[in-house]
This record gives sequence, structure tokens and C-alpha cells, in this order.
Amino acid sequence: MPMELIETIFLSEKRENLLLMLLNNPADIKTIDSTLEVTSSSILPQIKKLREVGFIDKNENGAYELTSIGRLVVENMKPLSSMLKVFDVACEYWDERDLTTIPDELLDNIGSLGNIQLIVPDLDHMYELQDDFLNNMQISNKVSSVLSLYHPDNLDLFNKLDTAGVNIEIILTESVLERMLSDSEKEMEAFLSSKNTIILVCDNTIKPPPFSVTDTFIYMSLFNIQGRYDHHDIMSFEASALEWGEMLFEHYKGLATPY
Amino acid sequence: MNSSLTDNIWLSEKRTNLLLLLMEGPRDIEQIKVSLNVTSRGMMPQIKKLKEKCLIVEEDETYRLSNTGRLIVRNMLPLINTLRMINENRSYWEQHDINILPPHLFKGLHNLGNYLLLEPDLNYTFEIPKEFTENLLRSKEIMSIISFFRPEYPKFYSQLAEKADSLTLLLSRSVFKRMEKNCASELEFLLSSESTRLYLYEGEGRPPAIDVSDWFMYVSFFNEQGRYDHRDIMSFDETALKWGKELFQYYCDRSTEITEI
Repeated sequence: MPMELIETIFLSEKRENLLLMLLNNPADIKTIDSTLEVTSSSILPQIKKLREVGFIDKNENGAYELTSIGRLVVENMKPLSSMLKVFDVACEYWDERDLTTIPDELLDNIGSLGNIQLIVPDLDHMYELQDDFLNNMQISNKVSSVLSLYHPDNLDLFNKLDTAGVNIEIILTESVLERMLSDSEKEMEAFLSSKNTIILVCDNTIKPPPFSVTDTFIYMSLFNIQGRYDHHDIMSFEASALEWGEMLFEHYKGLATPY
Repeated sequence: MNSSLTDNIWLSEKRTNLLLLLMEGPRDIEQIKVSLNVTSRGMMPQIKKLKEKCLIVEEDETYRLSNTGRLIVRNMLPLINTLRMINENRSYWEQHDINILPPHLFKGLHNLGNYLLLEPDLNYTFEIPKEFTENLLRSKEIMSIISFFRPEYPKFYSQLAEKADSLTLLLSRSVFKRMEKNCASELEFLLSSESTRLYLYEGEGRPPAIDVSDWFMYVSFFNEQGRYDHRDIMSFDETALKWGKELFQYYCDRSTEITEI
């Protein structure tokens, strides 16, 4: 086990963050100080250690940058570092999620969700769509949603968005579609004939998690390992999270057929 | 707030090793003791910490990775393998141009696995390494990027064309010119061979020289000055073969087939 190098990276959170920061761009000491909110005197010893192992170097402009082996290391470290940050928010929550239908490649990069918020409603607000969800949906211009959990208010929300000219793509599971058709015939009719909305249907056995990804945010209601919804949701606004969510949506879209 | 997951998985070699061991399957404490050469007394506190963070689960006196534990270890492996590789041959990787690799193959360099770094004795600098010729002559399906010229190549690859079931050669512009000028008959032979296809790469940069077959791969990176320093890498690992084929395919997709001279 290359313990010495592992310690060089992970024994100091400052070093770990500096490496991740330099993966985006070279940076001079001022930029480093302000981005990582550190003082030069506290970061300089860390820079020295990283230069000693050959992971970073100073370029001709006086800015610090990753060397090629440094970049090799950090590219392989980033998916792990960001995954740990996401799991750290709620270890038990994550361990109890059913993630089996998410493709491996996207699971390995689940850290892309970034700075997530865990949303757990109090007992008096369990049965309505959450405010965080509603408010952010209403300021979105483009919405992709997987509805694999029936909620009576969803159709109303999507009809409103549709009327407001939002581009909508929806994947329904067969059972959700059935329930919508039988419970809200009229609303469904309006919805199905709309120009802004594309509806796809997928088999129940595909078991996609209910989630929405828009140009503003991603909101997921992952099932637990018993396959039940336990009123725990997560939300993120980071660009990497939106990109991840779009790839996930594309995956389920490939398994669905236009209605 | 208690310690972070990062601290939990990295700051004790015992814990890191246990996580990696459990990636291979569930183990009881006796098996853990033998595999990691530890005592129960030394291991139990570490096991407790990993259980608290939901990384491992105890069931009927055996330990296994939790769902999140498995996801985390799957992401630890590429990093550990990369660090191991750098630890073992730091100067080689520092001095060779790996930046030329396409992004996903750069990141996946650790797929070379248990590779061998071959450095010829000074008396043999100008000969094709034996490891190279012997293993290629035993291969059935061969893909090669020839980005520098050795005088023995035209003859050697002609021999391969006769022996192998399929041979795909990708030549750099300068290698192609040189062969056209000095070894036109071998080039003609390769072009007429049923099993052989030839491609010409005229794109940017000089790709590393690589030969990958059904059971081994051999790659030569250029050094930072763009020179070949006679140090090569050989690997027999499945992951390395896959990596090598992808590298070949990447450049092949950017080349044109040569059908006549």
C-alpha cells in the first residue's frame, strides 16, 4: 500500500482541496488563499509537501499547477473525494437507498451531485409536494422528470409549467400512467395534446428512481432498499449535478418508448 | 461532528486493507487475521469504526462491505493503483509524455496493471527486445501503432503477417515514407497479405508506439523531449489489453486506410 503518498494527499484537508482546485486551472498564491479561504502562511507548507512528491510545480508565471503525474493522481482521486463528501452528509441515508437501477458509470460519479441538501419533511407536511421542489420547478425553463411514484398534485404542476411554456420531458412508469389516466382523465387529455411536453413510458420492472432535473436544480426521491418511498429527498443546484442528472435521464429515456 | 469518511478509510492502513480485502468477498475474523496478518485485539477497534460509518456490515460473524462501502472501494481502487504505479516507477512516469493520451486513457493509465518496465542492457540498445518479438510471434490477433522506425521492422512485421490470423498496422507519416523509400517490397507484401490491413496516421502529435495482441501488450512512450529512450512497458493483464486496444482504436479512427502505394 503506497501509504506515504496516501497520507500526503489525505492527511491534510487543505492539501486535498488544493489538489482538487488545481485540477481546474493553475492558480497563484493569492487565488489559492481566497478560493480555499486560507492564509498564505498556512498553505505554503502544504504546497511545499506537494512539490516534494512532484504533484505540483510552479510555472513561468509564478502560478502553481499540477504536473502530469499530479494530474493523473487527482483525476483518479476526484470521483472518490466527491463521493465521500456526498455520502458524508448522510451515511445511513445513502446506505439504505436502492441504487441498483442506476448504471455503474453514473454511480461511480455520484459525487457529481456535490453539495446536496437532505430534505425530510416533518410529519405534518409529509403528503404534499415539498416547497423546495415546487418553488424551484416553477423557476425552471426546461424540465426532465421521471415519475415512478404517483403523486396527485404532479399533474397539476406539470400542466401549469406546460401552460407557462416550459419544455418538459417526462418518463412515466406504466402503473403511474395507468393511475393518471383513470384518476384525472381530463387533465391527462390536455397534457397529452400539449406541444411543449414529450411523454415517454417505461416498464415497471425498470424501476427508475423518481427524480427531476431542470436547468436550475436536481431533486431526487430515491427509494429505500425495501423499494419503498420513505419521504427522504435530496436536492442539489451544482452544475455537475445537473449534468449528472441529465445523463441519468438519458439512460432511462433509452429504456422508454414515446407514448 | 465525528470524523469524516475520508479519515475513516485512509488514516489507518488496517482499515484501508480490510476494505480492500472485503471487496473480494465476505470474511470472518479468522480469515481477516490470516490475510492481513493482524490480531483480533488490533483489528476490533478498526472494525467498530468502519461499522459506525456504515462501511461494513456484520452478519452471522462474517463481515462484508455495505452498499455504500462497495461503491467507495470501487472508487478507491483506481486511485490506489495509480499511486502504486507512481510509487514504483516515479521517474519513468515523470519523464515520459503521457499527456498525449486521450483523456479517458490518460486517467485509466493504471489499467496497465502489473506491468514490467524493460530497460535494455547497453549492449543490446539497438536490437529489438526479445520479450517483444517472442510474444508477438506467439500472438494470433495483433494491432500495432508504429510511430518510430527500426530497421528490423519491415521483415519482422512481414513475418507476423504470415503467422497471425489478423494484423492491423497503423503507421505514422514518417515511418510510412521511410518504408516506401527503403523497403517498398515488404510494404507491397504487407498490402497484398490477406490477414493484414494498413492505416496511415497523419493527425496531430506522435502517438506512443504500441503493440497489443490477444494475450499481451507492449508500449513505448516518448520522453518529454519527444525522443525514444529504449525503455518499454509490457503487461499481460486483461485490463491492460483492453486499455491498449482502446488506444489503438482511438488512433485508428483518426487514420486512413492505405490500399496502394
